[in-house]
Order: sequence, then C-alpha cells, then structure tokens
Amino acid sequence: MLGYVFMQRSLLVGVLLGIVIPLVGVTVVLKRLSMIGDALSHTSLAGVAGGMVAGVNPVAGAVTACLAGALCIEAIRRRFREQSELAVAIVMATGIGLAGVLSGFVPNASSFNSFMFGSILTVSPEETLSIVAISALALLLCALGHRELFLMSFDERHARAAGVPTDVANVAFVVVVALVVAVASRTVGSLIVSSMMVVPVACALQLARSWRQTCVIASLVGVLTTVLGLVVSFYAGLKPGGTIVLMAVALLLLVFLGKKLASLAR
Amino acid sequence: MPDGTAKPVSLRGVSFSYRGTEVLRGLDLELSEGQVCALVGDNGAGKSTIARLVVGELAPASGSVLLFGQNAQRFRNWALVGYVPQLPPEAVSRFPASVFELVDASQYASGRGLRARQRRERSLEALGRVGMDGYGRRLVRELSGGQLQRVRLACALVGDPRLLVLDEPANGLDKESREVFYRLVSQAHAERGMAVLLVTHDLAPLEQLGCQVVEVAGGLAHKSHGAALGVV
Repeated sequence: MLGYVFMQRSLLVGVLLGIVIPLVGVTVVLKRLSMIGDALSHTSLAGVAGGMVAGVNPVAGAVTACLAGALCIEAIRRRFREQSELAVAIVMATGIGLAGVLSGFVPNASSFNSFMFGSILTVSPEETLSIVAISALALLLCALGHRELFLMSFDERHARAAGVPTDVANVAFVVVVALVVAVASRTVGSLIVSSMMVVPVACALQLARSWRQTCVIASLVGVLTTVLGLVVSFYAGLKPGGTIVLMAVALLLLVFLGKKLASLAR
Repeated sequence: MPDGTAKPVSLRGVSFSYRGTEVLRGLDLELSEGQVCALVGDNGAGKSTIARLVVGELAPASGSVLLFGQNAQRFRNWALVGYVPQLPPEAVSRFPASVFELVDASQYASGRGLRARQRRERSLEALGRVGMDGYGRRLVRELSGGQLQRVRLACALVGDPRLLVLDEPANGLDKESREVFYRLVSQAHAERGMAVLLVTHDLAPLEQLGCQVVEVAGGLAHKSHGAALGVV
C-alpha cells in the first residue's frame, strides 16, 4: 500500500486533517456550534459549484465561499447574541440553496460530486501543499490561542471579563474553521468534514479529565480513524471519506460500550 | 489608561432599553474604593443590566459608564476587575476542564508576563482561599453548585482585583452554600479591601456582608438602608 505515491500523499493529508479538524472541533463543539461544520461545508459546495460555473479553481471558490459564510455567521451571531445557533442555520440554508441552484449549471457533474464525498486518493502535490500550509496555520492558532479558545468555550462573558478580546478572537477562529473546512471538503468531502469535526470530540469528551486531554484525545482519535479508514478503504475497495467517518462512529460506540461495561463492573 | 485615583464605578445619567422597553432611565451610581454595594430589586428591575453596563458588556443608550475613570466600553485593564457573571447551566454540563485549568486560564489579563509556575502558585492560593484546595484535578462539571460558585469566585479573585462584580452569584444554591459563599466574599473584602458590587434578589446576605444597599426600581437606583451611593 505504501509503495503507491498517491497513498503516501493520502496518508500525509489524512494525518494532518485528522489532527487539525478535531482540534478546531473541540472549540466548535464546546461553543455549542456543532452545526457550523455542516453550514460551512454546504457553503463550500456552493463555492465549488460557483467556481466551476465561473471557470475558476473550485477550491478557490470553496475557500472564498467558506470565508464569506464564516464572516456572515459571526456577523449574524453578534446581531442575535441570545440565539447564536440561528446564525449557523441561516448560513447553512443559504449554502444549501445556492449549492442546489448552481449545481444545475455545472458543466462537469462528476467532478462536482467528488467534492461532496471527497477524493483523498487523488490529492495533487499542489493541494497537499495548501493542506500542509492551512493545517500549520490552524495548529499555530490553536497553540498560541489555547487560553483564548479555552475561556471562550467555557463562557464568552467569563472570557471577556478575564480580558480576552472576544470579538477579534471569534473572527480569527471562524476564519480558521472556514479555511480548514474548505481544504478538507476537497479531500474528505463536504458532506463528511463536519462529522470529522464532531465525532472524535464526542469520543474525547467521554474519556478526558481535562481540556488538554480533550484536545489530545480528539486529535489522536482523528488520526487513528483516518489512517484506519484509508487502510480499510484501500483493501476493501470502499470510498475513503465515508469509511473514515464510519470508523470514527464505530470507535465512539466502542467507547460508549466500554464505559457502560466499566460502570457495571464497579 | 485607567485613572489610578478614579472611582472604580461611576454611572451618570445612564439610560438603557431592551427591545424597546426602557429598563434604566437617567441612573446615577458611584462606587468608591473598598465600598461594598448590593443592588436589590424585583426580577426585571435592571440589576443585572447595571452589572453588565459596568463591565462594558452592554452600551448605555445615553449617559456615561466609567470603570476606573475610563469608558467601560473601551476599558482594557481587566486585571483590575474580577467578575462572576450568571452562567448558563449548559456552559458547565459538558465542559471538560479541570478546576485548576479554569482558575489558571482566568489569569489571562492579571497573569500576563508571569511564568506557568507563578500562575500555578496563584491558582493554588486562590483555591485555598475559597476552601477548594485539593479540588484542582476535579472536572468542573463534577462540582456541586456551591463548589462551582466558590471556584468561580477563585477565578475572579486570583488576579487580586480592585473591583469585584457578582451577578446573582448564589442563585440556585441551598442556604448553607449561600452562607459559605457570602462568608468567603466578606473575608476576601476584609483581607484585600476591594470594592464589591453585588447584584442579588436575596436579602439574607446583606447584613452578613455589611454592605450598602441600593434598590433598583422603575429604572432608577434608590437609597436604601445604610446606602452611601445610589444617587437618584
């Protein structure tokens, strides 16, 4: 398997995204914005379709649409502070609508479909470079801003009172989420990226005894299930994006089962 | 920069409306260094709104809100302020942080420039002051309501602030936990002499704290027993 260059590249990309997506997912889930991944991935699909219709690089279209969607979410969230989940629902509805309409004008339907479920096995060297760059940026933000992300995940009022510039930090965070979703939609698929953002975090929340452990366990689960998914899909001839998510769900079920058995044994 | 001689809190002619409903109108209120003031009143009277205006979470429709002499909206020196806002239960129910992590991170402004070891010592000291030493590794979501509020008090006190703002901190606590909480506030005030602004609808702790009481009603602050502030 590792004799194939495309598999080496897939594994590199898979490991990077397996670390980064759940890492940003920790803050997304704890800020009760789990649907943000869905909203931005649907928005990215609209960008892909728009790019294809306009004849520009669809990944550039996805990045642009995701950034616009993320900034809209933040702007609406500030307008309706008491109902922040409304912002995500509005952007998701707009993204789905635009993707649906624009997909009717896409000249190459099969290429568009590859963005829905991803094609990690066909990632080009240029795309690999962009994924490495955006993963490094996201990791840097999570490392440098871990205290801001921690406090904002707990409670924004507590964070603000502690001195966190919450407005700036929120915008920076959603921009990074948008970039991660945009590049991941090409590889693992727009319809799957939000699952990678949530399921490993759900596993980590069952096991961790601290915020730091939550971040580490979520990323480890992300890497483990991505690598397992790639290996299984390679030998079983399955689609990798879906296999990766099913691996994560299976691991989550195992964790639930293990905890249940442990509590019965006590 | 905050003025070192300015009063911790100064509200002049403050009006505020929430979705078209006037909550405060022309409210004046001042809090000097070391003073303890309790805002009391019915639900919806605007007590919490005043606390949120003081810490710059809300902007007044008219009038001025000064925090240490600086516009509260542009205030940046958060090391001077400890704040315990009301907390939605879901914020804690699945938050996977240890008590120590929460107190440590709460030194965001006050612990700037300190090494991790120094912050750790301050966190341990703050937890000790609220009787929560030994709970550092416990998950925040595993604490009882009373324990959680004591940890949140430690978060507010860890930076040794000159103003402590408490917004309904004893909501949902049983009588014993309430008494413990207010005793800790009273001790912290006696030891450090910071100004305290307490929002409460619970009158029981007021004597315990020996504070000045301002009743908020009809959008205004009215002097009550022992009040040296609450200018109407």
